[in-house]
Amino acid sequence: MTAAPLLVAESIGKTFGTRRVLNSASLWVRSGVITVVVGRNGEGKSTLLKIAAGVLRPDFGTVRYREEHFGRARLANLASKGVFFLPEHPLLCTSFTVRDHLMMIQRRFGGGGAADTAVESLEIGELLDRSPKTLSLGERRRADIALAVARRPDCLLADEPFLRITPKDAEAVADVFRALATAGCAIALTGHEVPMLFDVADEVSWMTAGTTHPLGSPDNAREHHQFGREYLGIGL
Amino acid sequence: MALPPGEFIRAILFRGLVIWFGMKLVVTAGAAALRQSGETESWLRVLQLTPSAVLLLTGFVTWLVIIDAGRRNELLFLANLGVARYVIGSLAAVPSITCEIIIGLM
Repeated sequence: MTAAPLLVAESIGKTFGTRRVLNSASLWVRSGVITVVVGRNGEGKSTLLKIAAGVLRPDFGTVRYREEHFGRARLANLASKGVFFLPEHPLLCTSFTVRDHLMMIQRRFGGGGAADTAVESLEIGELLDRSPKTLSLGERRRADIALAVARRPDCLLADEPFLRITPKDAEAVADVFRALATAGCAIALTGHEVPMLFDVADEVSWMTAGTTHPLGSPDNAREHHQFGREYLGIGL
Repeated sequence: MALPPGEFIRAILFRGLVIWFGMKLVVTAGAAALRQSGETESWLRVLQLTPSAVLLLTGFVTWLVIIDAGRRNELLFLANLGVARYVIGSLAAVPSITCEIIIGLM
């Protein structure tokens, strides 16, 4: 039996200027399940994730979290109920060290040894006392993910988490996501790194023409003819 | 309503104070320059603003503090800590309102 979704963004529409980016797109994020949203650039993956996280306001559609309807979802409100949003651009503030960020999250939400676990598994121990300004983009990304782990969220929405991550570090990041999902966290990821994303995914959703198409498991997605032809480039 | 961590509260208040001070210098210099020569208004009278000017100045200071916080990636991090933007704006307005009240009472 499929678990009820923890976070639902349903029938979402969004227009920027004269360009309609989302046209009745939906996202269901279930506890203990990693849902991966893939699609070509500009199809609206990040926009959908931002709307689900309460960072952007939809033109139409609803966001539900733990069965509570949000006419206007806001990240601060959702975050206090267990959501963590990892944007595509760096999350770390330039005024504080990585350690400061982890301490602030730990003081606000507790989390026991989650921060230590994150530091160890993502190998960011030597980055802790450095300012984010001095970190490479890949190091910043790993530190951003460490913040998400330290938060121990009930629902994690991560936009392009594998961006600029080396293959070795990507394996550590994938392990971190798997561990979070095993602990019951509902996870939605976007990106273009199909091998890595499909490796961690339980469910795949394909975004095209402003709407989402649930494709089931990664194996099912690979066998989907239209998805294979139009996104993976198989059989061209 | 969640407040930001202490580190952020101190930083936001300090930035609000610095920006208010800079704006106040500009406004005061402008007001002094516009005075008719020969007027004998006291320097305190030049510093004191009307209530609507105080609101306008405070709004501008708040806006600049929020823009600066966005530039430093702080808004999204604080939102992930459950801190709403209006809380940051309210904190940013505190130094401006406090200083203007003190000047008004002098």
